[in-house]
Amino acid sequence: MLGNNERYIRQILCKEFGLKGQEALSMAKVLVIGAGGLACSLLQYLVSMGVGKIGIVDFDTVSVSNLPRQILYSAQDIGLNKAEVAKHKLISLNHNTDIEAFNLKVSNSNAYDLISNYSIIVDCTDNLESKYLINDICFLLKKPLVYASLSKYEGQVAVFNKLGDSGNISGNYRDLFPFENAKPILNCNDVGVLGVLPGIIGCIQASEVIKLISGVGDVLVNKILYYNMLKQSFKIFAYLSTKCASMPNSIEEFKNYNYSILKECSLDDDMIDKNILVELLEGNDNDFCLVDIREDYELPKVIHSKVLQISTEYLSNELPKLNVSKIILFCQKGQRSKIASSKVKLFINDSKAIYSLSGGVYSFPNNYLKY
Amino acid sequence: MLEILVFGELVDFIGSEKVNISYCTTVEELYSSLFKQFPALREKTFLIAQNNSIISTQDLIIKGSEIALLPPFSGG
Repeated sequence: MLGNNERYIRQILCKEFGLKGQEALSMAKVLVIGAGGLACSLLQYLVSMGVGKIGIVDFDTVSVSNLPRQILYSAQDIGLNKAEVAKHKLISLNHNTDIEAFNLKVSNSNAYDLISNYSIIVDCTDNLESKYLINDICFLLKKPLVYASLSKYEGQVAVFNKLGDSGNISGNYRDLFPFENAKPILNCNDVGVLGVLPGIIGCIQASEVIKLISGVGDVLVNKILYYNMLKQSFKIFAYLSTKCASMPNSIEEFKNYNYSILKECSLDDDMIDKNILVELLEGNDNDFCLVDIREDYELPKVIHSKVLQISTEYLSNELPKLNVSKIILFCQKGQRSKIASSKVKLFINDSKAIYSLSGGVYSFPNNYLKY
Repeated sequence: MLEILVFGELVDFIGSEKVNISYCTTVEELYSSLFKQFPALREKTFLIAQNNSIISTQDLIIKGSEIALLPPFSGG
């Protein structure tokens, strides 16, 4: 079972963990879904510490903007599948770990087969739709789920579906955030993230995985940790586990459950796409204004006489002063402007229509963009 | 007064990591008071915690409690 105790001697010396803990790690099968910032730090520790089998799921490819925080990848990996590259790098860390890469997006149709073969599931994904989907299949299959997520300078960690001594199952993500109340939230593509933050949160998440496997210490059961990097503060909040009415009750229900409605929690009627934008830019209607809500340093700039730059905090003061009936807000990718438009509508009378440009600045034809 | 700790993207909507609002006896009153002062919060999902425990709309607010507004995160 354990080829070389010498390798793991320092952790075996921790008496609560000991040889028993090390053996438990070597027998454990951990599935990590999402191979971005969280997974890049988490995976290195799980592999180096001697977890026996690890699956890595990600359909995405490495891009240059991933490199500051996704530290398993380097410039020569750009364009390659993250799960495959991660597997390749991790094998050289520890040949004792059996690593499997899955180049696919977790979905209703593949989640059951993927998750069934592993004993602990780790959510390192970057979108709400996947988070609910993984939560639900782990609940149905009674698999412990180690969850983490990020927002700019902050992170969350929790452990769901842990089987208690009396046979009861601990709370899950829906106990905290019911699916029916879910609304769009900004992710790292829009609000940004400092490279070191996923490293910190991924390590906390890895420590919960190691504690779950070895049985050492207390895990974040029926509790959620909020970490703030700017303040170096850790706050743990307790919650109650309740029966969620809208949770799928069977694998069959799960397979037919519509998780993509989360994408539709948006303001579709109030969005315009690149085709409508081009009509406006090239048409005769002058009764509109394009408002760039990004920060000064964000590129590319849009060169057009109808473009104004107004930061989000000034929108509610500045937009009512504009003498046009249509105002189109845009940002880098369309998420910030979607949220900003819903916010400013609360301050602005009905004579002005506020839209968000879907796809952000890249919806403008290239000849309007300046880098 | 109630001192409220603000987390995640809610900080951008409220403008600060801490905010004081007049004392409210129930969570429901607290929500309406927050929505009145910060209308953009109506569009957001967030939990309310009192003294490090997440509370529901039926709960009462105890004087001197530490209140926290906790949104979901989605980055990974």
